[in-house]
Amino acid sequence: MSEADEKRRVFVTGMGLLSPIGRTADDVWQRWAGGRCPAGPVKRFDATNLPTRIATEIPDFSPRKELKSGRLARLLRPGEDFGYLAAAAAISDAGLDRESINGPRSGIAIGCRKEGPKVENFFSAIKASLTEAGEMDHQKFIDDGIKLIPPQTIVEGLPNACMYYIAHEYVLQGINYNFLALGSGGAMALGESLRAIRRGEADLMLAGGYDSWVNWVYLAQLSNRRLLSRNNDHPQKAHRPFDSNRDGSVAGEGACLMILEDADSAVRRGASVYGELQGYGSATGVPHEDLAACTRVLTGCIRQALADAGCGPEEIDFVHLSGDATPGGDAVETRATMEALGRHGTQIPATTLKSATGHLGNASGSMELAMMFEAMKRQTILPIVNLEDPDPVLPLSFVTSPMEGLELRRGLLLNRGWPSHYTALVVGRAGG
Amino acid sequence: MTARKARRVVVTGMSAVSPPGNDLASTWASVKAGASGVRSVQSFDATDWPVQIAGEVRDFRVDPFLDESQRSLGEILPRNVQMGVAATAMAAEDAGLQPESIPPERLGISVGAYTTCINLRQAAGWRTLMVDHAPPRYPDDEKRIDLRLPQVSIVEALGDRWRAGGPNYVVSTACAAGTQALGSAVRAIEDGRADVMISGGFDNMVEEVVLLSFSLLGVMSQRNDEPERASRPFDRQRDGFVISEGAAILILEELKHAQQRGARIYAELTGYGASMTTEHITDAATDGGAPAAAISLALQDAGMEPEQIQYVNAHGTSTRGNDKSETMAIRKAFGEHADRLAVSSTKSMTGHLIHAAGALEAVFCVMAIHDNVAPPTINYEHPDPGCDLDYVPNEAREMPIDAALSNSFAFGGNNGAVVFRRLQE
Amino acid sequence: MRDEIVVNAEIPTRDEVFAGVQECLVESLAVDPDEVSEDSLLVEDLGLASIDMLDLLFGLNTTFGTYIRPQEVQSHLLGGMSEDEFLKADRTVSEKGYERIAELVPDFDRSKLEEDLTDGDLFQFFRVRHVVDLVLDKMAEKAENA
Repeated sequence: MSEADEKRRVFVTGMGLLSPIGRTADDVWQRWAGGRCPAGPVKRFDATNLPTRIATEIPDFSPRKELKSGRLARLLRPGEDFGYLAAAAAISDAGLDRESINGPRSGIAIGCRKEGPKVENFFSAIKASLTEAGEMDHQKFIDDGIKLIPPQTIVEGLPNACMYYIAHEYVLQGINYNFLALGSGGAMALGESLRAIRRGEADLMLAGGYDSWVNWVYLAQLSNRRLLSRNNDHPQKAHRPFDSNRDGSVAGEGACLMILEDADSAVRRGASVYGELQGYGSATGVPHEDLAACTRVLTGCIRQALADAGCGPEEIDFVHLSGDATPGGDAVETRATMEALGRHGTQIPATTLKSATGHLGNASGSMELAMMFEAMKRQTILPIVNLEDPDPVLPLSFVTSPMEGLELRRGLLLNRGWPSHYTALVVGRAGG
Repeated sequence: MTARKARRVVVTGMSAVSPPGNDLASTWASVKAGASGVRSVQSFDATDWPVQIAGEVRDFRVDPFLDESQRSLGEILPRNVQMGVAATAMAAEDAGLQPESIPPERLGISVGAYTTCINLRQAAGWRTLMVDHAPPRYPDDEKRIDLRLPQVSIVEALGDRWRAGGPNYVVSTACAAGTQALGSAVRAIEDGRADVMISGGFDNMVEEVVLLSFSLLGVMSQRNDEPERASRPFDRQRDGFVISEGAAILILEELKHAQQRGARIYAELTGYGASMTTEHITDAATDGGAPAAAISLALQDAGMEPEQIQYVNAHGTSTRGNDKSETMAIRKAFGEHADRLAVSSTKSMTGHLIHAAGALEAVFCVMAIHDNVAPPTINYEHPDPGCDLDYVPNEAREMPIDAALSNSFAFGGNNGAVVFRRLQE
Repeated sequence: MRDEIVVNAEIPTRDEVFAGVQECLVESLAVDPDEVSEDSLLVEDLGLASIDMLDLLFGLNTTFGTYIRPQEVQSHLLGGMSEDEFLKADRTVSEKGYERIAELVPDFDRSKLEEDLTDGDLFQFFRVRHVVDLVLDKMAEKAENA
């Protein structure tokens, strides 16, 4: 890194979010403080035959009503609609609009999961081409089927579709990243944006993630891979990070996008500042099922983020863990934190928002970062929801009741995406 | 950013699995000879479909490229990842890359890829599940359907095999993904977060539902009777792109790291630039402005003047909109030098590999420098007044090439450009 | 989950067709119903982009049980003229093409053009009325075949 790079600092000057427990940082904080996970039986579809039948859903969400555009409501897949709305909220929260944004110097970085268009788009065509025996007939498909496929199917299926609609709306014409990920995307997008602004490739980035795992296929897949809790009888108690009785996450949904700005330009335009993004590290656990190897890799990743922030382990005042509540995932990140931060790491408060919201997928990293800024603003750390019987082999100081009146200047955010993508971010409070 | 970079990035290994050839040597030989890999679709019955042609990789088998421990994974990996596995193995061999000699966290992966589409048979299966039988039950034979997600299969098939514990990017920006993946890889090395990156792309969009969906948009060539003549970038009679499949991987390495291990250095990747066209989701930029910005940013990042580039591998999809817009973009970014550039679209022979296109075309740029040959744009027969550059029509051209630039512009607006240069001390 | 299409064998009245077209436009373009009149220009007044045309046709085909292909919209606008007649070799509009445009747009003033129109510009002159005509034509054609 050259000296010139080090001079550019990156402030967060806006955020927009949607979650199962609120649509502003304050709402989410208050509901987290309430200490109850809103998980319940899946409402959106019939999950009766799945091993995991619970989720946290964003209540009362009508794409048609909220997007104010039939076209977008039709073309955006679940999760993307949250992203689009979070982008609008972040831009407005930062006091920006499409006129005031300097397009070529403004970029966008997104972490998401997408799997093409809705499979339902093909159902009418398939039905029209079935023979009486229920087989698909090639000629019938050509004559009667093809014309029933919605013409914008390919546009709907583009991995970068939502990113385009956002960039189009707010004239974000600069550097851009669209990462496919299973949970780590939002945190990666933030980290890469920090680097892009430092390098001078952009002065402003809209960055973060959006996702929805409340989908029949995802729930089936993720439960199959033992990543989701099967505690269907006690949905609110199902997601239990670092607890002896943990058995995975509760699938959730949401979006959190942030405005990252070169500090000088942010100050010049009198922007209000949530805090500072100071360091970033990313790594991959290989072999992905080898917990010792994953721990080594994540330890290196944390050290990388600290070095990038130019701070020592003792300068970290609290840790926000990923807390996906899988047996291995929780073990890896707690050990890596101890390895990387040493004894200090085992003494500072460690918490996670995740069991208050469910796993928000690629939105989790950015959502949790938003809560770290709240914690530093309020000098308070909220406890881990559902942590009743802390696993004795996990070495950290988990927060089990609210801690107030702290001196929180700098925090470490850990994020794990499945199968073994790790991200570490070092963040500082506004005003240093 | 014109200051000389502290950490420089070079290409030390390459591979290709493409319609014109199943490895780098055969692909490059075909492309230099102007041979098209586009044919009538063979992997499924496309008789009487609106579009019946594609660039398919023929006689491909992944087994020879798999580790002993991965044999069981091989058959359930989706085809795009299979081709990625093969391309990575060949590129690593070409680079003499030995994972045991690199600390895992110093080796990363950055590839352009997207979730594998389901085919019509699977879609029909899902319909049976979701419409006919409520409540649906998860089918037993789709237990590892999560491997369709590249973010999972890349870790399981590539990360584990090559001990790649560094940054891991699955870049999903459609037609620009291959180029943007290289961009993310270069930055990871320049920033000191990795010494070696496995980078490129793979895709197999020659799938029933993709072919149908794209053809509904009217952006694909329907020259079904003459597959090899269908992709005709910059030709006045072009009528759309040809979808194809394949993979290309480049081993990118920090210069000193490469020199210390005595690796062969093909070229330096000197610059990357990206931008976003925000006018329309599928139409090319009307004035070429945003794509031109990506080109200029890449040149600036490379610390090079437009005059230092001899060859441009164009995005050149063979759609009416792209080729005209790209011509304007090249003129805008290169100014008067545009008339002295050799500009060709190898998509005339390979078709459009979507998420892998930029990666394969980057390989061609490096080979153009290596061999001092500009590959041709084939099927160039009728000049279009809106496309007035030197497109290296129909025959490869031997010429001194020290630096080359590759363009990629996506459906969805993402633009990327990379610059390669013969290594200068 | 919609798995059925509505097919109406009767030929509807012009008002009924307009109502259906209006509904499709509201759905495809996210406009208010009262913004849509027979005289509205699809591009200028209702904000139609090229890709929306496909959506609109899909909506019409689903509503009316017709099968209108994108090419047919153009040939409908050309009033039977072939594309080769409408365009010159460089894909700008021919003399004969301008005559057709003048028919579509009574107050069309060619001298005000800054540069020649090309094939893509034709849709600028497309009005809701033309969509209604096209659907009626197709319905009549379909009734004849049945």
